[in-house]
Order: sequence, then C-alpha cells, then structure tokens
Amino acid sequence: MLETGEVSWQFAAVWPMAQTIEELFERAVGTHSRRLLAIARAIVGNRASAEDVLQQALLNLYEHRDRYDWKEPGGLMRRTVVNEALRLLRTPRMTMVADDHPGDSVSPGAAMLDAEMIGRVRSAIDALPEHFRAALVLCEYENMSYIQIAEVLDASVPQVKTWLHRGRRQLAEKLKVFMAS
Amino acid sequence: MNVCDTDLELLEGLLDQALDASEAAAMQHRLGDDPDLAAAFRDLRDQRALRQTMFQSLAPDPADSAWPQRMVQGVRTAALRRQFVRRSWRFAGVAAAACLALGFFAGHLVSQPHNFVVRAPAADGNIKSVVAYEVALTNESGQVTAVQTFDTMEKARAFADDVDRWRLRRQQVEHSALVIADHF
Repeated sequence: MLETGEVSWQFAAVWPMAQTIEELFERAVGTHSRRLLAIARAIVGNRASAEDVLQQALLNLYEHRDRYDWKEPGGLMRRTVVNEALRLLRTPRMTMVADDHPGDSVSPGAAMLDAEMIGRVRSAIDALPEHFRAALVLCEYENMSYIQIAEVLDASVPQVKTWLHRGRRQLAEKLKVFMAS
Repeated sequence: MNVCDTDLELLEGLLDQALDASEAAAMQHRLGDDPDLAAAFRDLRDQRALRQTMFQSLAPDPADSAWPQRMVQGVRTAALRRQFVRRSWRFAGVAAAACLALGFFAGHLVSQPHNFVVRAPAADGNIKSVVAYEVALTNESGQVTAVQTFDTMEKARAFADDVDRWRLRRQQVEHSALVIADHF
C-alpha cells in the first residue's frame, strides 16, 4: 500500500495515457510507413509511384479510421498497401513512372553492397508477375507465414508456395546469366 | 549440382521456416550427408540475403526522421481535399435539382394563357408611352370575346389566374368531377 506522497509508478506502467484515434493513427504511420513504402516499391516497381500507393492506402484507412483497431495495425496496414498496389497494377496505364527512388532516400545499408548488383536484383524482381513479387516481398521482407500471405493475397497456401518457388527460380536464372556475363 | 525441384522446394520451405519439426529435422540430416544439397541450400540462402538487402534499400532513409510526419500530413490534406470535392458535388447536385424544379414551375406559370400588350397611345403632339397589360378572354374556338386592361402586370396575372381557376371548376362540374375544396 502506498504512503501519502509516494509516486504511483505502477499505475503509470499499467494504465498508459488514453490516446485519440488521430494520435494512434499517427503513431501507426510512424512505426510502419517505412516498411510499407518498401513493400509498395517492391510490388509496383516503376509501373506506378510507390508513394502514391502508400498515401492512397493510408488515406483509405484514415477516412474510415473509426472502424479499426489502431493498437495493433501492422497487419491491417500491410494488407491495405498490398491490395492498393495490386489494384493499381491492374489499372491500365499509358506510361511508366520515373523511378521515385532518389539517391537521398536510399538506406545507407545499400551502399555497403554492390549498387549494380542491387539494381540487377531489383530489375529482375520488377520483371516477375505481380503476384510472384507480392508473395516474395511478404515472405522474405515481412517474414510472413504462407497462411498469412495467402490471406493477404486472397489465395490458397499451395498457390502461394507455387508463386514463391517459381518466382525464386526465375530470379535465379536471371541472376545466373548476369553473374556468368 | 544435381538437385531436383522437390528438394529445392523443401530447402525453400526450410529457409521460410515453413516446415514442421520432423520435416525440418529430416532436411537438416540430409544436408549433413549430401554435399550437392548443402551447396544448393547455400545458394538459396545467399540469393535470399541479396533480395532482403535489396528490399531494405527500398525503405526511406531512417535518418530522415520527418518522413513519417510528412506522410501523415499528406494523408490529412488529401482527406480534406476529398471531403471538399464530395461536398462540392453534393452542392452541385442540389443546385441542379433546384434549377430543374424552378424551371418546371416557371414553365408551368408561363404556360398560362396570358396576353400582355405594351401600348403607346397617340398623344397631342407629346409622345407619351403608357404601359398597359391586357388579358384577353377567349371562347372554345379561340375567338376573343372580351379584353380586360390593367395598369400592372401583377393585377393582370392575378385576373388571369382567377379566370383559369374558374374555367377548371366549370370543367369539373360539367364532367361530374370530384368536388375539391374551393379556396377561390
């Protein structure tokens, strides 16, 4: 039992301050948006602006923010971004978008590896069918299980396995040609 | 290297941590015994690491701490803009409906059989223009049977409305129509 004047640290830990939905949304974007942008870029490549995809996905969530649980929003945000990226790819477009991947936004970690190799890998992934790309980024970047990937992509687990396997085989062939040359 | 497709799928499953405990244990055992399988596993692991590095390079620079806030601001601005556009469309829709309704009723009013004449009677050397409003009463054949003159359009219109109501009532009586409340 606390004596008069003691600070109730326990209460501060157990009862976090209540936050508005706006604050929770902002925190969710702060926590997840970088990874979400990477996912969007991996899926749309240069066929669309990844920042536009991300903003549109977040806008859709923001407009209906009262409906969602913003305490654990990672899965929801990821699914929304993936769906928006795939939806955009299905929309016929007249022109390719210039690479919105300027040098100043590249992670410093990339500089440690051969930039040309990264470019080759990225081009090879861009050339894959959209569902192969989406499955690959969710599996290898987001470390999602096959069941989770199947839910996000609205597919079966065997389909996801096939997409992953065929995507990896195609990438291996392309990079083998590059390495040989 | 002689590794079949099935084994490659199992190796990918191992890397994806998608195999159950017994399958994973069996693969680990085989990797110890089969150098070709072990080499294929190393290749798959290296390629995967390369892809993961590439994926990580797609994220914005973590040093740019303001980026998420800019994204939030962009979303809020876009939401406000979308709200404004929706309200504008709604307003335009209501305005269009109001115009249609006004046009309908105006046409209905205008279609009443009123005759308005502007007359400038001859003066005694002084040209004087007088505006007068006439309502012509016609029979079934369309012949003018009487003319009533008024000095304002409002009086002429009120008279014409009265005549129209009288005609309608007479038609209803003649054709044994339902009796409606007479507020005339």
